[in-house]
Amino acid sequence: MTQKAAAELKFSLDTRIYPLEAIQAAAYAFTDRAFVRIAPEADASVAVRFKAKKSAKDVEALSDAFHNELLHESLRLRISAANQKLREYVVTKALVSAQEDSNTLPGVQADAPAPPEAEPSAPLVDAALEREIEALLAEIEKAEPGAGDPLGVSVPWQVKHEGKSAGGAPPAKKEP
Amino acid sequence: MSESAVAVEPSSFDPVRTGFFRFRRLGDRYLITNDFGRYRVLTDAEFRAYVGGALDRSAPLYGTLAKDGFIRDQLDFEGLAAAWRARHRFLWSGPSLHSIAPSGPGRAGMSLETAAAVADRVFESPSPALSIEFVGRPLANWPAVRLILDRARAKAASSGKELTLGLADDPSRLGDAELAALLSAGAEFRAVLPAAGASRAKSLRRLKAIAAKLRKAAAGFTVEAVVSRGARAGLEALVDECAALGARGILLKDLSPLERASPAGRKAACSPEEFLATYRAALERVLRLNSRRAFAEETARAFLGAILNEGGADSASLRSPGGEGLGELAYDRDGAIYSSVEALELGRCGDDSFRLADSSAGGYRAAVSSPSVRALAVASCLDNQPACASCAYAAYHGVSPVQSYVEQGDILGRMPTNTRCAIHKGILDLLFEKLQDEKNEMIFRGWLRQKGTGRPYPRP
Repeated sequence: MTQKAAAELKFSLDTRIYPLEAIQAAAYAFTDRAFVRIAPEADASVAVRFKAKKSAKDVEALSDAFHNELLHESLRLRISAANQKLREYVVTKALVSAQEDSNTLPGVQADAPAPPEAEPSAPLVDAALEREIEALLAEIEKAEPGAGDPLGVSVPWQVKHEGKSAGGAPPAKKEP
Repeated sequence: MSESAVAVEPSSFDPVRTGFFRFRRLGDRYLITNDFGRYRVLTDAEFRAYVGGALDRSAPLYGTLAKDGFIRDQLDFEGLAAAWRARHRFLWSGPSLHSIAPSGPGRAGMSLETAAAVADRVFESPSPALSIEFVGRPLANWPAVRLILDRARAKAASSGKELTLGLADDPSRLGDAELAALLSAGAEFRAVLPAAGASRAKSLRRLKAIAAKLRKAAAGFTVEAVVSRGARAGLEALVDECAALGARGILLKDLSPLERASPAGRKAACSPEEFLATYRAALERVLRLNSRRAFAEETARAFLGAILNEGGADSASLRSPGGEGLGELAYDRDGAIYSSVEALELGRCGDDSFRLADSSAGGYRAAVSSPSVRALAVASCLDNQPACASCAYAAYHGVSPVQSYVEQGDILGRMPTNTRCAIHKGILDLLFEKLQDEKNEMIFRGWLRQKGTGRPYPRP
């Protein structure tokens, strides 16, 4: 139900349809064009007040665009939730493998665990993958006694390469 | 973005087949991107089929998306981890871009003793490839520039590090002796043109005189021009002129937040919409010129490096976490070390929030270990930014906490009302639009292969 007053619209949103996080994200995306207020209403419902920053004429069009954005933010949430563990696994694997190659930290095992099989039938990643990620993260923590600078970025060149040739430089390469 | 487009129903998403992606409307199509910098522009029907896991598995599109990590049950973990690592190699290398401002308005310049200390601090960075860029009217203190050039080259030779040198200043200040020294050191010159008027004409006259010498020495040079309200009208003619002089490219810049904050800056600054309209016309002019010879727009080239290179962005400002303090450092004439040129300029205005250390005390380790760098790292991590975490351009862009602090009073910034975000998003929209034409893509890839461009790009 929509009530119209001057340059302002007020409507209710069912949080069973649109998660609160999606409502907040959509509202944030519109802060360049509108003032948006979100307040709790009845159970599983929030009230959204929408006021155009520039022209009162804009408010209807903005409201339509806002509802489209709500759908897209809800979709983004689903994509993110379904793939979070897989993304964490890939990043953790990249971090561990880089440390092995650069040999800047002691105690990192050379053979990182093999990747898990993605379970085509499971909508979310299973417990085995979660254990895998935790093991990788534990390796990183175990390998770093200082904890504050796990990549050794604050260690000056001269200290890091004392007695070594320039060939021992970190693996980072510049673009040709 | 088409506001009237019919949105995609979240319930249509297939969590089994569809991998992680970010998306954005591009006209009547959808751009999808992922953490590995891979992208694809899909028609509305293709996008809906992809989201719903209904793509034809025998179609070439499916194979491409699977190869690029978009299909959840076809992920190549080894390959994708390597791709992620390649795009984030800067995490292991420390600051590679070192901007040095050896002079400043109305006060004493950098002493030779400080210049020597600054050169030494630069080489403490663990990065195997270093770029030294002289900024802020450096030619006003040539002795310090000369000392740093010589010392840096000697240290590069002894350490085996790759070194690139650049100097940005008004060409009217560049004498023949300084030009010869820059050429001899292999330093690239970036001609910074005044906004408009008589001083720009004088600078262009001098640039014409030295361009012949630069061409003869086969030394690439670029031109930097600020896009202000007063300079919009003549921008396409300026593009033509710079190309005719033999420049490798032109860098079209918006005013910085600090420049915008002054009364004169408020009058001169374009709105994001004005800037983008002017930028589009200039970029299209640049693309037309490329039918005859390679001539790049440098802001576009920085973004294109992030989009088209497997290794991601060379520009420290297009990374997450951002480059301030982690990928770049800036050194003021008194030896103070700041997280970036913008932080240094802020320091000159009396706000030392991002002053990290001093070249003569503490040096590199103190600078990168400072609490300010930690704060900048957290604030510039896109996963911590509500609008950026889901932005389709997250893999090709970074936030600038210092610029957000200047413009919005908060290092985390508020992207929907952030000028830099609006302009950069508009530029990326334009680039992805142009990339749909294969001819343009060939030109863009040519820019990335140009000789003498192996240095971190200028800050967009």
